[in-house]
Amino acid sequence: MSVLIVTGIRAGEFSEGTKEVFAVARNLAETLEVPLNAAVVGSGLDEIAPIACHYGAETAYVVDDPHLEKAEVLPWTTALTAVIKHIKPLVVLVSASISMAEVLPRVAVRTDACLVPNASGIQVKDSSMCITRSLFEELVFDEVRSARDTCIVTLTRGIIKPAEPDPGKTVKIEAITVSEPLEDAREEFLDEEFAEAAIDISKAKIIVAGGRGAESKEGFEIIWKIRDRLGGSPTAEVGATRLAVDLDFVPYDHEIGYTGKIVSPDIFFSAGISGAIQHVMGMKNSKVIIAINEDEEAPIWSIAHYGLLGDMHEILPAIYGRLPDRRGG
Amino acid sequence: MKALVLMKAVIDKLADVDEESAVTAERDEDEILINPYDRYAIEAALQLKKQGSVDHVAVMCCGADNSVPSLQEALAMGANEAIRVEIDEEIERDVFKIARILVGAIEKYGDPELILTGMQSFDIGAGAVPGIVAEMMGRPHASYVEEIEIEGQKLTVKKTIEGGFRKIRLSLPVLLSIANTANEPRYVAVGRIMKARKQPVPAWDLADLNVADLTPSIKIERVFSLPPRPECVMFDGEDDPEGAVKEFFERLKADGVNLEAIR
Repeated sequence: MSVLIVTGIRAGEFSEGTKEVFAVARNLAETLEVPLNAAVVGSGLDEIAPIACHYGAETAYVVDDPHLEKAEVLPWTTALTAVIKHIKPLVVLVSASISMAEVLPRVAVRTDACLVPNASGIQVKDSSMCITRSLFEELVFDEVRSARDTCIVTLTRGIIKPAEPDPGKTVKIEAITVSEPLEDAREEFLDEEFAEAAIDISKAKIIVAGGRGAESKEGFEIIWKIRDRLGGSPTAEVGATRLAVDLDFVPYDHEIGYTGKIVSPDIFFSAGISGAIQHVMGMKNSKVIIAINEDEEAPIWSIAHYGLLGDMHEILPAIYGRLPDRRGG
Repeated sequence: MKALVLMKAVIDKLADVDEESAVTAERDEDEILINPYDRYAIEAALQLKKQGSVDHVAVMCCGADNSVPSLQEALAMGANEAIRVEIDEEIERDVFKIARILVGAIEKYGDPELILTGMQSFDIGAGAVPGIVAEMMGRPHASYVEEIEIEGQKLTVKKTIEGGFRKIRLSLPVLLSIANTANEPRYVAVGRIMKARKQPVPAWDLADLNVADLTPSIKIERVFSLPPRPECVMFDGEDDPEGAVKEFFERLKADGVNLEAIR
């Protein structure tokens, strides 16, 4: 019996979500009194594989192959299936991501494992695992137990502080040979374009965010100005929804939500943002949420502490006008 | 080529959901609607039909009686055919059970080359069923799809990834789950929806399907909700934005929220 963490790698490092899962995995392995191992899958993994051990894995099981460079679904399914069949863990913990959302359901079928996506917590009760799932976009939760020998659990972001690495830990690496071919002619990678975040807004104490309601890059100018009046970077940062990024109102660095950053600042201004779960899951733990929106029915009101109903292009300048200008000493 | 859209009928968020009332099959049909994410899949199928890549759009839903109006609305949107598979509450939250039933129903329907789904459901919200169905059926799949181009036996697909997009080419038959940023689902006039309410929707029984084992993959122990968040303190700035902002700042001060101290 063992706990296995499947690591997510972004720009040569373990993702923030993976560091959080390491923290959960370590606690779980300790409570169950079983070893924790890591699966490190991809291409060019020599430098990162040992770091899995620094984060607490006893053994880092590695599948390192050029066919795995591009996170294609079928090759990754084959690779992860081989690792799980080799180790036969009790539970597999993974941080939620787009590629894992595609791969893990297929892996669960191939390994006859149970799959619990969207887990917000995992405890040991009566000597077995009890997993909390969020349903109806967090209106309801349930607690489930696995009915299979292996359970694959995807954890949502922000439930625990990320683990810290200890470079003094013993490193043990085992390469896993995959007997089936990784390549699958039915799936072919063509091209991708994406931006890595250059700045990290997740440490800011104040975030001023905009969404569809900003209407344009120009519409975001007032948001930048308010951010400046509230202290400027890095104390105060600008945030955005995926849609605002896709429409080029702001760069990807500022995206908050499922495909962006998870933040929990002291103050969160949300302007022209309806409040869809994909964005809200990235900011709902903010201490004070102030929403500005012209739609009475917008879901954002259900998570905001303060709400200003009206046109953000009128309300934001009014807010800006009331913030003292501290420049010039 | 036929396109089959797998649709879910879910409880309307505005109809209130809590731990006592979370069983879809038990809710009134007025409280049930097309899973909002599935509208993008239905729309994607209809657009492919308009382009001529697809000649028939069928919509299939596993649900109780109360899901019939949702299927009829899909017909009103422009689907050619709607089919319901009768299921009960026991199946609802187990992604494997749902997937196994869908696979049985898809096989009975004739294994169409193109299957589309929404990217997730409002109730479970995991987006797991598309991958499970695709694997059980031995087809490649892609999730969070924004654009689809069909050329013979291949499809080029543009899909969302963190921070951007990816283009891949898949061989038919495939399953695609459609991103909620892929299109603007068409609005259907109420009159047309009401007319579609007269259309019968055939229902298949589980017994009519060749479904692989339905033993549960999970055991549900407890259903609960969190205590409600405090109500939002609202200021109406529609007519007097300055006035509303002034009141808002006064309230922040009274509540001890100090923007200055945080800076």
